[in-house]
Amino acid sequence: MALTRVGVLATVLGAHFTASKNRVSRELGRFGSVVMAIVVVTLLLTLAIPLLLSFGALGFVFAHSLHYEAAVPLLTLLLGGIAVGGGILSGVSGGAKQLTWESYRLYPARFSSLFLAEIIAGLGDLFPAAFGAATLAVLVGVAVAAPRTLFVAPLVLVEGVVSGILIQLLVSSLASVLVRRIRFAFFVLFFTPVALGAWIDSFHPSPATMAELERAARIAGDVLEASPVGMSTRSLAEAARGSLLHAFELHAIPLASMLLLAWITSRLILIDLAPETHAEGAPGRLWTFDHADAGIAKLSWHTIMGSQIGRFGFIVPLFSIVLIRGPLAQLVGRGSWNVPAAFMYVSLSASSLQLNQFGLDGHGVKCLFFLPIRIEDILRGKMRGLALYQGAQAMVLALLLPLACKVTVNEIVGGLCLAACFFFVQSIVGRYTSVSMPRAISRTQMRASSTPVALVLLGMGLSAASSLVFGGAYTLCQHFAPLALVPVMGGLALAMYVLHDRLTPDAVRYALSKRDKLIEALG
Amino acid sequence: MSVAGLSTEPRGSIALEIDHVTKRFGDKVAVDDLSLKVDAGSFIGLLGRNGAGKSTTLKMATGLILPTSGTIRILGVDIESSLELKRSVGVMPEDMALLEMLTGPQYLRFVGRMYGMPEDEIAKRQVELFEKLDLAPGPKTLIADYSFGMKKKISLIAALIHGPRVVFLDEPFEGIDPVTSRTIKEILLSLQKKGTTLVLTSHILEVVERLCPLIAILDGGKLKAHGTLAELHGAAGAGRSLEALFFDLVGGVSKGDLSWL
Repeated sequence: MALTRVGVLATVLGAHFTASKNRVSRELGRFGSVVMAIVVVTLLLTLAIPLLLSFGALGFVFAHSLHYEAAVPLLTLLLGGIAVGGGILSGVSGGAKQLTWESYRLYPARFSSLFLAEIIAGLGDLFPAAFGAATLAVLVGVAVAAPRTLFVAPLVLVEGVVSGILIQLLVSSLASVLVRRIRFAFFVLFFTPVALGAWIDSFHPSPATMAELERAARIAGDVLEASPVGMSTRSLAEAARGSLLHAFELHAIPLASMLLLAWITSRLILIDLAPETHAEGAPGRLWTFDHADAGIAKLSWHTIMGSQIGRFGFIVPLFSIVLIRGPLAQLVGRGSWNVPAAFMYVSLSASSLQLNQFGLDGHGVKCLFFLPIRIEDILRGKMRGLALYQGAQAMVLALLLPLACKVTVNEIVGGLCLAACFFFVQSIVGRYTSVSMPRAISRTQMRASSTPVALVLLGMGLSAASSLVFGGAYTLCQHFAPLALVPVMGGLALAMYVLHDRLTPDAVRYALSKRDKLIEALG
Repeated sequence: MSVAGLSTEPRGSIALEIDHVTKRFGDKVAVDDLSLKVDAGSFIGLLGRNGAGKSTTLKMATGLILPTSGTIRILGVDIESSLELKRSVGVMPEDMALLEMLTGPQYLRFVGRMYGMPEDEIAKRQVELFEKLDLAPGPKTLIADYSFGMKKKISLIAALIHGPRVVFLDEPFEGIDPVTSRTIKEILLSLQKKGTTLVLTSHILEVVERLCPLIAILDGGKLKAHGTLAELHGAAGAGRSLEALFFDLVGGVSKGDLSWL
């Protein structure tokens, strides 16, 4: 019996759905599922619903203001920002590809069918679901104000959401390719923000130049209007005016662009799917160390740097520079927030490794427990390996910041102390979550490791709390007592280190009690 | 002993044709100008040390990776050019490639449906294969929680459930207990009797010697020898074993005792 394209879709989607359901039951159990449901409902009521209502209100306001010249470009920015920003954010966090690479090759199904199934299955992921809901909320708001837009709103929704998922897949595949060529990526990403930063800082516009800039902004507005997302948004305005035929005509280019994006993404995924065996490098250097935890630290560093996700971490400081120079500076203006924000962003990017410290060891975790060393040495070694890694990341950022922004040494040293605070807090929590919710992380691919939902929520909560406490302390010092910045942040980092050290015996006891789970899950 | 639903192939035609195939990974040549023909209904074992190129050859033959140069045909067709051909091929990959968050039956349903099989046929064959391989997981046990041997079994079942005409097995006996090993051997021999072409890789000489009428020995990506067991025994010289021939071809001289023992 031949399998139709619809049959492939139904089969893959069914498998994804069943796997997700099984995963939740396995990880949380009945009690955990109830707790998770309560957490999700609470988050929905306190965060998601107000946020979605705000998006709806924005859509309503824009739809009422369509007669103003600026309304369509602004609505375009909003819808485009949700799709493109959401796609990039979720792509950097690991992408949505779920099928094993063998699945793309072994079965008698077209690649395009499997690719389509992956896109649709991607809707069930956290990020696509979030940006899909946000787009829907905006469109509902628009439709309430201008009911005739309902005719084209489904098209706008599909274009936005599908493009977002495609960007997500594109970015995760691109990240994978970039990591394979890390020196090239580093070179390009290093010089771009530095060059841009230097140019912007040396730029003191005269009145004549300001007029030129205004003209350039108008051209940028025209380009935005002519872009696929601009045309898609204009179709809403046309539909609101009653020109339905023209509104539908405007979707020709957005739909064609979406197909082009799908084609480019599928090509990149095909490249990403070819698992090349890496040529053997130079013989390993002889490892020398005086104490077991130093050996484990070297092993951890080696493991992290041998993985794609670990190497990708060294591109993150560059991303943070681009972010604070570009989109964030446009949104909230340049100011004192950028140094702590950059250090926080870089620190948080390593949370997946901190909260799952044995993930990259995979089966190798057994070897750690075969060795005649104490579990305390393993935990200390892991901490030191991660400290080396995150310290190197922070140092890269510290070197880049003066090249891209005007910062003082005081601010940078304060930022390094801030990163240390984040590090110790993540490590304190990570020593518990790493043995209670272990999950293997691929060393050769940038694919998401299907992090348990509970761990994702815990990571988000930890990030928010750390940002509030340590980021808040940094900002207050920077604003009210700049001279106290380094002593206060240094003191906080020291306090976190002491707390980390004091909690080590408890973490050791916990790791011993949960060792079976760790071995069972990874070994 | 036979498994219901597995189709047969008339003997005499070529099931697998590897023609001057080379595979490079960067500077490393994994398979070097390999040519090999396997008749339909044959059972061939690819022998070699770790890194000899066995798994790479199998991955290219099954379309998992593309050769750098040369061509591979299965049943006279380039596997890249025909989706329909994949319906006739069963593969048990080296790392099994299972969807671990599904239960065994759920996974087999997914695989069966991907091959276009009707639901009732999938269920029937699954029950029969589970029984034959003595696989009895709990109804809600996920593959992630299976033992290594159970994962091997489910991977083998997934390779066979659609009744392929050519089956590729990458290290099928690794990590398998002796009882299951014997059952797998019986199933494979039964398939061969029915005309299914079988290609397996192993680095266990005894398994290949006892199971495969045809043997190919690879080393450093090159084909060092191939033929029937009798031909290879003949080549080894009167009274010499296949093991002796293998060591002659691929090296591996005894390095003597350990100095501290």
